[in-house]
Amino acid sequence: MKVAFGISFGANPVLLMGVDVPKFTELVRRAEDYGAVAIGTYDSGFLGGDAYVRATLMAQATSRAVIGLRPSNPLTREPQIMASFLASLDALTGGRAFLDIASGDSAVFNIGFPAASRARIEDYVTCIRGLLAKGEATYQGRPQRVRWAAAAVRPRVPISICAEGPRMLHLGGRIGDGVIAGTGLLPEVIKDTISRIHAGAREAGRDHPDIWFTTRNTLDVDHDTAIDRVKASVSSILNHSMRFGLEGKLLPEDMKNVRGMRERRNELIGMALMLLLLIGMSAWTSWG
Amino acid sequence: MDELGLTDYALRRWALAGTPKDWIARIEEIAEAGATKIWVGLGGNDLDRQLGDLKMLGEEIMPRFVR
Repeated sequence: MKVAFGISFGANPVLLMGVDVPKFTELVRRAEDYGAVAIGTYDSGFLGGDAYVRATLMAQATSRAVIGLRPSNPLTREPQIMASFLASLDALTGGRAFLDIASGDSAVFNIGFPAASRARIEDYVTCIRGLLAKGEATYQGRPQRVRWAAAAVRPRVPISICAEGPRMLHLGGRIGDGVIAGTGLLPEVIKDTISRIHAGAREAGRDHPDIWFTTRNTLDVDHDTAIDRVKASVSSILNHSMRFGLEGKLLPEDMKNVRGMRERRNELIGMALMLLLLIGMSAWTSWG
Repeated sequence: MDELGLTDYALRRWALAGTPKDWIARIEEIAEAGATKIWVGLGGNDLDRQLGDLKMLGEEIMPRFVR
């Protein structure tokens, strides 16, 4: 069975020092030599140093793999800035840039914004495409212009939609050059994910986009060590893939009940605290 | 996650974790189900550890699958 690999490098060390650059570029070069067809880095100014710096170093260390941000979000960088970056990366790599766009997690929440809506993501993607292709677009009703569009290496840089729920999968099928699915790796989840993306593409009357699956991974010579190390990451995706609702996410019924049990437990704790408060007030009144 | 009894399910659903042998078996399973393009992350450790993980990935796992 043939499988294509993308390899993602994060902000570790959180701020790349000059002395780290040879090791970092060696990592990226080796990833490409081993056969990675895509290499990326996440865009979170909360978690670490700037993704544009890492992506630029990645571009310089490679000659075949596509290079990009995975993911960014529509809220921390205006589309003009993102389009300019993508055009620059595309020029630097001779047409190997890409962007994965998500609703926003640590970068967004730590500047006081909620996650971006699907409408905002679509507006952002449409705007960037317009700026790259024509130098003009609108975003959130505001006119946008850039002067460099005619010099762009490609009029369209691939933009993939990151999706963990059914509505975002559908959007990805409808507008994405690709979809990055964080829905999970169980066979029934994979099949459902592909089906929902294809339905979105059908609705838009377009070909199916590329579908990539994200993994939460650790690798170690010892099985148990690897399992222990992956738990925090799995816990994180469990939280943010389910926090906006469970509908259509193929969660087993007993798992849904766990959520109900937790809510009932919290209610009971609240009632117990209220009871204690009332007892305390009653005692204070009696003694007073 | 442990407290709520979700760990085993969450690991089965999202994790690609273990030894190179575990990875190969898991990747074969998910590719068979239709996921033939996968992202893996190596950014959770220092650069030396990332290089060690990448060598395991690139030399013991990827050759089984890369075109």
